[in-house]
Parts: sequence; C-alpha cells; structure tokens
Amino acid sequence: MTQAAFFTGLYVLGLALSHGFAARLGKLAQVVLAFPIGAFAWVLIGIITLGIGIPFTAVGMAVTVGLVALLAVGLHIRRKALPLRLALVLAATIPAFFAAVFLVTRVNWAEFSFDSHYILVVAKGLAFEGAIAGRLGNQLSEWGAFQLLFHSAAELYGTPYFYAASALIGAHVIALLVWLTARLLGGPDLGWRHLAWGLTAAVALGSVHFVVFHFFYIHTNFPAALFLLLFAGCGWGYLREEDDAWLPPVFIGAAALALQRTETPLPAVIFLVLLMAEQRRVSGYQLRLSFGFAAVLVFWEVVLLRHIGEGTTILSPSKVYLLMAVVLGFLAVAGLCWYPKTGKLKRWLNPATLLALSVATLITTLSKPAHMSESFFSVFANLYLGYWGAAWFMVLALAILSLLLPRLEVGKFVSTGLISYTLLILLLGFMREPYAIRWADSANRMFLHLLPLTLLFFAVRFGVPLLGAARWSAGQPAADAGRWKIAVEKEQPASLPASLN
Amino acid sequence: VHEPEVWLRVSLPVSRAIKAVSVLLLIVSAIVMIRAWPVIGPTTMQQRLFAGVAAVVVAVFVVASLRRQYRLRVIAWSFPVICAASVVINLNLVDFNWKVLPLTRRADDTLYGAAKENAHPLISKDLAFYYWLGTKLEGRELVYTPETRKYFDLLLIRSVTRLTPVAVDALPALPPGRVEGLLARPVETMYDGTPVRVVQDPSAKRYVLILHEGVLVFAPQDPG
Repeated sequence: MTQAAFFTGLYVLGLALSHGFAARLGKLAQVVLAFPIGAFAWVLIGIITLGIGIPFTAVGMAVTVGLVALLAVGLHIRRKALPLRLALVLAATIPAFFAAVFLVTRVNWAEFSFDSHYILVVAKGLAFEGAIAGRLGNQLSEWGAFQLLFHSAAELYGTPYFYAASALIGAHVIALLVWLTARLLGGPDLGWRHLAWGLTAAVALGSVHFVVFHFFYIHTNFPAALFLLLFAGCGWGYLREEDDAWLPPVFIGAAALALQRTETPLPAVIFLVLLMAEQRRVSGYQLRLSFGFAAVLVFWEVVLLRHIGEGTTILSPSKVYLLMAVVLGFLAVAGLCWYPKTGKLKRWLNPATLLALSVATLITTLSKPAHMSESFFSVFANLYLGYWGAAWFMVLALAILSLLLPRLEVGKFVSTGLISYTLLILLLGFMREPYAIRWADSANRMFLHLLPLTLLFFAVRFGVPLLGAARWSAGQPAADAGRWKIAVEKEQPASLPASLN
Repeated sequence: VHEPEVWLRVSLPVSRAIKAVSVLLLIVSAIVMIRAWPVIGPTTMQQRLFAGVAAVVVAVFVVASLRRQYRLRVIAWSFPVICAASVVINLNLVDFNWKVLPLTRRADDTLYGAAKENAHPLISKDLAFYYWLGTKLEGRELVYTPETRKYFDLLLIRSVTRLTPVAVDALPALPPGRVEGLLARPVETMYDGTPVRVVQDPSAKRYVLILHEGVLVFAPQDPG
C-alpha cells in the first residue's frame, strides 16, 4: 500500500507541475508525463534538502512536496489554465493510476544483483540518517543521485524497498514509446493508426528478454532509458512543431538522465548540444532552461565534492570537476548559439561532436588495441549473442532498409545522438577494465538506454511515408503540418498518388 | 553519397550483372535456409550467417528495383513486418531450433538462470532482502576480508556510525523492521580475518550477525 500511495503521490505531483506545458501537448501527454516528472521533482527536492543540510525526513519531504503541488495547482487556477472539466478528467485518472499500481504491487518479482542491494542500502542509509553522514558521502560517488533519492522514500515511509518501481518505470517506457511515436507521426490530432504503429514498436521492445528482465531488476538502466526517451523524443517534437511546450520535458528529461548514473551527464549534454545544432534558433526561454539544467547538475556536483572525500572507486574529485566543466561548457555553447552574432556556430556542432568522438575512439583504440578490441568484441557478443534475442538484428535490418527512405528534415540529432552515445559507451571502456561477455556487463546494460529511443527513431522514420505524409496532405494548415512535410515534399515528384504526397 | 536516391539511381542501372548476382544469391541463400531447417539437420553458424546476409542483400536490391511509390510503401511496411519477426523470435513462437546461433532462450536456461549464476550466491530477491540475506548466511562461518567486504558492507553500512558496544541480551528490545548496526569498532579495522557467524534468534524472528566485538541485527517487518 505504501508503494502504491507514494507512486500515486508522485503522479499527482507530476500532474500539477506539468500541467502548464503538458496541457498544450494533449491529455495523453499529461497522463504519460506525470509520473516521470513527479519522480524528478521528488528527487530534486531531496537533492536540495540534503545539499543545503535540511534534515531529510518523511514529514519534511511530504510537507514540501505537498506545498509545491498546491502552489502549482493554485497558479494554474489563478491563470485560469485549469478548466473544471479538464480538472475532473485529470482527477479521474488518479484513482485509476492508484488501482493499476496497487495491482502491480500485489506481487514481488524483483530481481537483484549486488548493485541493486547497494543502491537500496545507500538510499535507506540517507533516509535513516536524514543527512549525508558517515561513509554515505563516500558511497555517493558510485551512483547517480536519482535512484538513491527515489528509493530513499521506502525507508522514509516505512516499507522495506520499492520492488514495483522497475515495473512502473518499464510501463512508462512502453507508454512513452507509443505516445511519442503517435504524436510525432500524427501531430496534435493523432489517431488510432498512429497509436497502433507506436504499439508495434512497443511490442517489439517488450518482447526482448533483457527488457523484460529490467521490468523487475532494480538498477539505474531502465530509468536512464526512460528519461533518454522522454528527453530526446520531446526534443524531436520540439524540432517538428517548434512549440515551446516541448522544451520543459526536454530539460527535465535531460537533468533526470544526467542524475541516473555517474557518467550520464555526458550523453545528456551530447544530446542537448546536438538538439541545438538542428534548431533554427535558440530562444531566450531555452537558454533559461539550460541554466536550470546546469544549475541542478552543478549543485549536485558541489554536494559530491563536499562529501565524497578521497579513495573513491568511480567518481573522484577530479572527475567531478571534469563533469562540472562539461556542464558549464554546455552552458557556454548554449549562450553562443543563442547570441545572434555567434549563432552560426550551430552548424558545426553536429559534425564536430561526431568527429571528436570518432577521433577519440580511434586514438584510444590505437593506444590500447588489445584492451579496446576485447571491449568491442564483448559488446558485439553481448548484443548479438546475449540475452537480447533478435533486438539488435532487428535494429541492423531497419538501419539498412532506412537508407532507402527519403530523409526527414528534422531528426538528425536523434540518429547522430544514438551513434554518439554508442561511441561514448565504447570510449568509457578505455578508462576501466575491458568490457566482458556477460549480461551484467556495464556496456551491455547501457545499450538498454539506447534501445527504446532507437525504436522510436525507426518507428517514425518508417512511419512517415505511410502515416505522416498522407495525413499532412489532407488539407491541414501548414502550421500544423510540421516540418516532415517539407522533407517529404522535397522527395516526392508531382506524379505520385495523393496518398503518398 | 549522402542521398540514397542518388546512390540507387546510379548503381542500379550500372549493371544487370548486379541483379543477376542478386538472383544467384537468392537461390543460394534459399538452399542454405532450407538446409538450415531442423528437419534436414543443423547447419553451421557460418552457413546461417551467409544465408542471412545474402537474404538481406537480395531484399535490398529487390526493394530498390521497385518503382518509387511501391518502394516507399514496401519499405515502410517492412517496419511492422520486421518488428513482428523479432517478436516471433524473441518469444519463441516458432521453434527455429537455432542451436548454433542462440538468438532465443527458454525460460529455465535464460536470463533468470544466468542471473543467478553470474550474481553472487548471496544475492536474490525476497520480501526483505536483509531477511533473505540472513537465511542464506545462517549457520555459516564467514571471514571478513577485502574480498568479501562489499557483501558485508551491505549489512554494515548503517552500522559504522554507531560504535556503541551492546550486550546480546539487549537484542529483543530492538524494533522490528529495522536494521541496527551495533559494532564495537569501525569496519575498516576488520580486514584482519575477523570470523563472522550468523545465527537466528527464533523468538524474535531475527537474524543476528555476530562479529568479533559486537552484533548486527537485521529483521524484516514481515518475516513470513
């Protein structure tokens, strides 16, 4: 009961906080985005509480979260942005969400590894102490803040641990994949065909053994996959519709991704940079959100510097400084892209990112050929002969066939981002012992971050000729048609049947 | 090069030989695939890979040679087809008898079994993992060494800030559902091979980890 109540509380918090922008993306968006955004809000409040030294207690967190939710709802009412009918519809989803989560918590199929235990124990330690005390500070260097703060609620509210958290996160990965595919293909008036197309991708994802396992496995990887999908998918939506309502979930997703694991600030920054590279312009609003993103990460990194001390195994103080430099560097690039006189810099960001990562991979491979070869081989063996079933064969086949499709005008940042993240995973192998052939291998699990987004990419890529273009040619106004239309029209000769125009 | 359409327009008319080779590959791959069927007998991994690659090459050329409007449609529909094929393989809906290329795994010999093999034997799932850990440790003599340290850290992490020695008879007073670390000295000083014993306190349904100079108690809220 505690789990169901807590998760529902986060759902309500997410509904309240996201209403301002999610309402513009549709009711489905509000429902799908609520829990991830509520979870992020909980974590953010927890980070601030621990960081500035306020006692981290059950009452303190409940009161703060409640006040934040009430404040958000009050603001919506004052701005007349929450009509009664919509409020009732959203309120009706709350018991439905609770009932679904309650059913899920009836069984405990949680899977554990050593990491799972460690995450839970550090999380429980934070809640038990109510502060970063003793060796907990040192142990923060091994994990991202998100899972620690999220699972600490179990101790705060008197339940052993959140065994249903992974299933809930997995359900949101599936829901997001379906919604994003449909929304990107169908626009605001998405229909059942768009949803069915998204469902096809989701079923393919959900049939993979390794993915099913992560529905029950307590770790950081499925949440990282969720927030990468949320962040990059919404970024794609922003590129297509150029509506600012897409931007808050982009930056919330990016910050949540960055807080999942010690290395995830890097892919978060890479994807954000690539997103900017593809935009027509970077707005002041986006720059402010970039400041917010950087502030959250730098704040947590300062907390780490204060507490982790020496002798850490994963994040040392020097690595924390490096991560801080990367985040501040991103902020500098965002500022340059926003400033009109240096805005043309954007065009170089995409090739520069790919080039830098490719050259780094080449240099590291040449400097430690045996080490890197072992890593590459292990990654390949894990993906193609491991527990992924046909998943990466499917991706390979789709990648080859997609070469025959006309290119979309927007979405390059997703494909470049996926390639960059792959290179980054290989590069990370340089700084540690080589990746190994086993399911629990770090790189093998990190590829889970990529799979949902990869399927979204191909679902949209293959769906546009059938669903996207046909729908947009049916007399919709140009503003709603989005930027796919430009790309498809460029590719289609006038003699084609209307259904393909 | 950047535009697939250009590449296809240039390459397809270049030579009818390409199409001839494609057809040849199709025939060869069909033969290999037929050979691969379990009724005939298992084939080698190389044969299967060759057949797979040949099938992809042929499929690409066949699709590319279609008229543009059909080509786009066929390629677009290949997405659900490929997804469906992937689902069929992943869920073992059809037994391909892939012994050499283990694309699929069955329930018992797959991930879950492998997870248990690869993971430390102390690690599994249960209602309260401290309790579970207790059941696994019960009656064992374990030595606290740098190698086993991390597993003990799971139990001791909360104890390091509590260094007050406590008598064993104080145990029943501890509240259930809590993990209380009661050590006589810091964990860091225990790499000297301190023997550790785990016993059960049946009256309180708790497990007691007896260390060198102190005890660590862990108990679930719901032992059942």
